Amino acid sequence: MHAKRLKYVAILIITGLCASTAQAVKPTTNRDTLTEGRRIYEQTCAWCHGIGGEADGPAGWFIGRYSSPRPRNFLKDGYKLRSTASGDLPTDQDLFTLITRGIPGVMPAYRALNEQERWQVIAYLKSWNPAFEEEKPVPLTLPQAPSAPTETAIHNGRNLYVKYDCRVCHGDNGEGDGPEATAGHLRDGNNLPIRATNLTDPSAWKNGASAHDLFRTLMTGLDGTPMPSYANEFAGREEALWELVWYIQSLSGQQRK
Amino acid sequence: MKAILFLALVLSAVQDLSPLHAEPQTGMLVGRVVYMGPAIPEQVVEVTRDSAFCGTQATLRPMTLHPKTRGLEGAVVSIDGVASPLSNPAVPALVLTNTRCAFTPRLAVGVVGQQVEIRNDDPIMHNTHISMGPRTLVNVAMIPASRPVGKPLKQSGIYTVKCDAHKFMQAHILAFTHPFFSLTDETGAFRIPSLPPGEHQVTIWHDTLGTVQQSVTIAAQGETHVTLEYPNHADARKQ
Amino acid sequence: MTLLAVVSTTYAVSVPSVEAIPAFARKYSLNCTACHTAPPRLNTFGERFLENGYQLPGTEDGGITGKKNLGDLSLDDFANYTGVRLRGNVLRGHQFKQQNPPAAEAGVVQNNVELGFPEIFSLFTAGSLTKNIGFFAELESNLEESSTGIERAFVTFNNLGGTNVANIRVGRIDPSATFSFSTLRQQLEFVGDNLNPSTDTVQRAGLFPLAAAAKFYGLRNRSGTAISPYAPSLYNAVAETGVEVRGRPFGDWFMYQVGVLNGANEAFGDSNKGKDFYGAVRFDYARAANFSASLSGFAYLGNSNATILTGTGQADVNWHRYGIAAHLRYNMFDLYGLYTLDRVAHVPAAALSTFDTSASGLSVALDTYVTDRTLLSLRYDNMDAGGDLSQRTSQSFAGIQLKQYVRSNIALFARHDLNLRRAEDGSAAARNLRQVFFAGIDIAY
Repeated sequence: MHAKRLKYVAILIITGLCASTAQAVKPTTNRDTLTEGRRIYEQTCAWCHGIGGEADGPAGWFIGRYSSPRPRNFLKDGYKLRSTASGDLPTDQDLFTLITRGIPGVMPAYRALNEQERWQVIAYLKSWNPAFEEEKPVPLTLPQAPSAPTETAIHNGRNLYVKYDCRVCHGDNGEGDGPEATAGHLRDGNNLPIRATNLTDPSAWKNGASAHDLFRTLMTGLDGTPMPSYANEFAGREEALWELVWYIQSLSGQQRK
Repeated sequence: MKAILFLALVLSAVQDLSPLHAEPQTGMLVGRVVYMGPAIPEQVVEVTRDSAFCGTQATLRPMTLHPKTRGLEGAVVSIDGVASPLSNPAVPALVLTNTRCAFTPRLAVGVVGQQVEIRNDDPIMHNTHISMGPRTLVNVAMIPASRPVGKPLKQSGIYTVKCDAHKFMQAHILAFTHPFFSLTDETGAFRIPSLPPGEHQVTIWHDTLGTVQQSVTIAAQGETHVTLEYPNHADARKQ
Repeated sequence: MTLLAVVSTTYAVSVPSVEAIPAFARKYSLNCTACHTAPPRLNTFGERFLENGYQLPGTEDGGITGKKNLGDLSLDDFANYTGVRLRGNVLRGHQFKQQNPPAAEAGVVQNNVELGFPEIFSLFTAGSLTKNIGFFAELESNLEESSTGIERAFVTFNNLGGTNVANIRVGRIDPSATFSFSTLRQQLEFVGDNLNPSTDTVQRAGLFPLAAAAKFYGLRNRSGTAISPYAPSLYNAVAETGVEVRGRPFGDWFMYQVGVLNGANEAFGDSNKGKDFYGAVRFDYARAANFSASLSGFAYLGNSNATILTGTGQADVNWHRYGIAAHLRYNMFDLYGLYTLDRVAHVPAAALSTFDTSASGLSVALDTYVTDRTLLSLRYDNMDAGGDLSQRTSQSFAGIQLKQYVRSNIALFARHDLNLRRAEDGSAAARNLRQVFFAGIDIAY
């Protein structure tokens, strides 16, 4: 009986904790937010992004060396990983997700910063780019994935992969060895050589590896890279885009919801 | 009655003082951009993709000079720093078409807020990538017979237009926050109306020759004629 | 051990499509170069990660990142805290001015070119147990020296009294880990010297960052074993038992470090003597412009931490060292150097006429990426040796190495070291080794 009561108390406490984390929503930006954001940024982010956000931190060069990627320049660059239309700034939630998840290979996940600290850092890095004041980024509407892929759907996806020239960069089998990639033609926004993503290795995908992540990447494109947005082609034809997504996932044999 | 008369007097006095009432004096800058240096010859590059449609070679023309006037086609003349809000932001879209593996036009000039409309007339896929420095304005896959894609120009400056699929395709869009700009025609001629008189800094930009600046004095009325000469391209600062 | 090495090599080579990498990289899903300029050299981010007890700079992530809950216990996956490194020369060529000095062992001091197997295999396990408690252990097997044992093994307690106020390391530690010049983080690997076991004389010079080496001839530890002038020692030791506190309480620009060791080059468990103390300060600039720099200084005060032979027996001496070091990094360049000055105090008056009580050393190294995957390294080493005047020989070496990264965790290298001093006949090992050529492999997984 006593143990049972304890269990209830524990559940109550845990529920309370969860609720309080979920409610730790984005604080309104004020001077304190920026001061705290700056403190965290300088201890955590500045090593690569530089103390002034100009992508010139003392450790930043070594990440890509003479190639892409380099750290984001918060004053000038656009953003690669977003839920918004090509060329648009990311939403606050995009930045939050990015800091939480990290970027495989190049940026660690900062789950160790609590939610409030992550929002404070976001407020601070946005303060460098006046475009965040002028533009109001709106996320694209991303539908839920329909039923599980069928063989026909994956087959259709393969046809789209060819039709939309995905193979030109990502290669026939998705190994990132398409003719444009192997010829060294691909360049990023800083004119550094950039590799085409190896679609058979989802663990290295910078924008996430779930079906939803892939759908989003195809819709938004990756600004500052040669990867374009296909939103215009697939507007109103989301079913076809899911087929392409499933085909890409089939290249690694990994289906992730 | 007295009061009304007084009010009318005051109002007329105020109207007289108001600069809005007076017809503002403006001049027009008319001229030609010339280039006396040796013409930079055409370049022929290999086409490695979609050669069946695009051909095996593409010709890049770094400059087009008028044989008689030495006028430089496709230079942009602009005057910054004149306080004048854009009178009519509802300008028609700048249409940029992928046609026969090239952008048409190769140079477009517009104002911030103006839509760019990207089209593809070719039976092959293009990838229109417009960016300013490291920031992308838009990067879209253009499937044959796809709908046009619209995107407003977000900031002033020089946008580079590329096709990541066809490296030899390139164009530029210049965006301004004011109406004081002009694109030179095939004889190198341009005209910028409605300029306040006085000394102004004129900026000339050309995609091969880069940027040069020169000051001109606009007369209080009528046309001010000027010939703007590009220095030999080796001296020009490539923007 | 050989078998283990072969198996792990095969494993490392055959794992497909994984970028990199040892434990931390796996744990954080990062490439090596997030923390390293080129392994084992650290970049600024890697340095601060190390200082934070293997937690991301500015965080206390030790309790969460990479860990899975197993009931009450949370643990990393095995691979997230275990890594291996196999490195060494597969081709070795030595060229000597004068061969076979008196009493030299055959095969040690001869012009030769030999094929070998990468001789150093290390298995290390490191990470965080929970928030602010980290650990590190390294098991190294050196085939050439036929030795296997724990190199470093310690526990860290971090951010005591506030962020970066005090970080403690306890165990077998390398005191210079956070200095501007870390003994263990060299692109040009250590190449062991060769001491004659019966006469204790150096037969073949070692290739070391000589500023970090012992630099004295005729110095012995308390059990009477000769200390090689090439042995990394005191503050620059590879691993000594002790405890230290380190922090940056006033911000990133300044670091303090104080520690106490059982004694350098001391057998574990010798408590019949006082302890050695050291203190260091480091000043940093690391903010922007792809640039970082630091300047550090240390003083190491030995306490009966060595002995010398006198006519009548062994006498305890106090062996001290003072050093300054600096690093400059800018884009692809990583320049670092160390100057040390050693003093041996309390030498019996009778021995003073045959024993030079001071020695100094200078090591300067430059690493630079000449392409995305090619690392060029240069190092200059000088030792103004001290100690037994009958053996003592100063030495200067220059080394150059090209390392080609086949993958981010597999590198092939070729290296050439050249003796800059005039060749001399006689038995001075530091002079008769003229040049050395190596080709080898460095694999981390």
